[in-house]
Amino acid sequence: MSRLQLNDLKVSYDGKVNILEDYNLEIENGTLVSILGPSGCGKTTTLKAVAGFLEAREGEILIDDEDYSKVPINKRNFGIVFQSYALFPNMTVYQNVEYGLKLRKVPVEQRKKQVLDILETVELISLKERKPENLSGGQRQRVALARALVISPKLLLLDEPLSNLDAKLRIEMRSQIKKMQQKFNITTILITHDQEECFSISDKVAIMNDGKIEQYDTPENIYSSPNSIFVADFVGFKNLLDVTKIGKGLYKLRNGKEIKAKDVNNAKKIAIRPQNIVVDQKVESLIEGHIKVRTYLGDSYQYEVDSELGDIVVNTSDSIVLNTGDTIKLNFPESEICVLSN
Amino acid sequence: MKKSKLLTIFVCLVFFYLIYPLFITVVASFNSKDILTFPIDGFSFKWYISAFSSSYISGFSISFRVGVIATIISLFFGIPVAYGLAKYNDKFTKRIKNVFFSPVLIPGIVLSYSLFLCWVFIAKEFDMKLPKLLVLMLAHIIILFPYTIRVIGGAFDKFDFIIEDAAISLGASKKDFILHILLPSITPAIVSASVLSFITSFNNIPISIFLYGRGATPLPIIMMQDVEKYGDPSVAAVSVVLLFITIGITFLIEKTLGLNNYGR
Repeated sequence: MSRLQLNDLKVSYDGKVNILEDYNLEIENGTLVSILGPSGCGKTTTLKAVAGFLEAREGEILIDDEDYSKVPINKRNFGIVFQSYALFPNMTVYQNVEYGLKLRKVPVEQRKKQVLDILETVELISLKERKPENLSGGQRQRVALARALVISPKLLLLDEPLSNLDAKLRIEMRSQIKKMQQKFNITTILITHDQEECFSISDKVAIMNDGKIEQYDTPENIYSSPNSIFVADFVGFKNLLDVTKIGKGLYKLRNGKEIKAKDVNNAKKIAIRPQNIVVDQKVESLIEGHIKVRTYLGDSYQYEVDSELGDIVVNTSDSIVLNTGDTIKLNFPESEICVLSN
Repeated sequence: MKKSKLLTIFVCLVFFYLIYPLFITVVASFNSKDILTFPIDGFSFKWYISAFSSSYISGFSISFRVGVIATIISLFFGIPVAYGLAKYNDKFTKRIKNVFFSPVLIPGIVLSYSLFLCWVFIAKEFDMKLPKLLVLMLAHIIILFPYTIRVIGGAFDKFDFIIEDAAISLGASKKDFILHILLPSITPAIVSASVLSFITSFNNIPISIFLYGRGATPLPIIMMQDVEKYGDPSVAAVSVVLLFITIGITFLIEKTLGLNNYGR
């Protein structure tokens, strides 16, 4: 329904140190964008600035080219789902959902229909007379979602909405969120620190570090080709090794061995995921080391290897199980290597 | 589970210790002689007639008015203070909290004497004799504040202040939030605080002792004076009436709101 643009946003808590500086982000109409990053990276600050709980010192918050940065919070018409759900304890499920419409003075009959419709969608009709204290975490979450959606918001903001739920419920709820987002075709920002959570349902992901967006792309692109060392590390490229470029698509490791990979200018490091390293004890290897720690992951074993290039983590489902102290030979398939320049 | 005999005996002893003095008062109030004796010499209702004499009724009316008004005013100012203290819970507010709770720590009689000195000072310096009823009310408000702030603050401590953000994001103004969500959420605590405050004010002697005067003498003070002056069982009868009023109020609140659920 609406397109969001953040242009050169500057945000600070104390008026001195900017948590966000020259912050730019564009979200297409009807898409779900996740902002992902470690705690303290500024993702919640971004949400607060968009919602209006923090006033941007400079820059614009454009929704369909209209500047919202000076619009009061209660006039913005954004639906927000808070981490703690923040349901009104004195109201029933029905009253919680109805509240936003009541404030908008929607006529009683129409209001009733809208509330019942959305409660039906989130499967809460049978619980509509309950108070929040008598609901489970997942049910509260659905009330919070219904309450935010019933006002037909221009923008849906979700602040770590799944972090208080157990693993199984989290998977259920994230598909529910996706379903609702698509049904209402609503532009959505999801704040999270959980990579799996956001990759599974987002159209695009913005990875944040230290107040800046490191990479903004589709989950697939970020997963396969991170553009910085930070992003690579964050999305599971646990092994990062220093290299020197010696030719087109040819690099030298610190142990003197050469390796072929995608050609990147100013390449500084190569990265590879633990599960993509090939363990073969018979052929000549790129790196050799000794196993420090072995852990069992269910479908595979993980080895922490002490090598000449530092610690390397390898996952292998090989039928031959190696023991602590054994020598292990590692090779990196060319297609799985990610070359990084910064 | 098998009950321990020793424990049962202990509980009975403590219970007896609590109830026995009241039992004596109730019996003594029916004495037909005009002295306080136990057991009584004969049975009579006459002291109950004097319990409703004009001096007790006016004392009751003073105590009731002071109690109600002091309770309302302490709530009116106490709720915002409690809200602020709970919401902005930093070093500064922690220190402020100690100040708000200080009347509980200061002996009532010291506070009473201090306020009496203030009254004398104002009377001397400004040639203005403040009405005793007003001074009495102001004094009672001071002792009620800590109770109000503590009980209401307890409810706010459990309140998730993000709820305010949620309400505002849905289109509510600050006033909407306070009237529709904040106050209804703490109604039980408001009721508890009111009852506690009223009873505290109504029973209080130390704070009133230097401040009462003509047309502003609360019931407990009148009772105290009458025991000294006459020593007849009419005060026992007044006590029994008060006892049953208190039991009645507690019962009513228990029935309508369930004090147990909210006192916590």
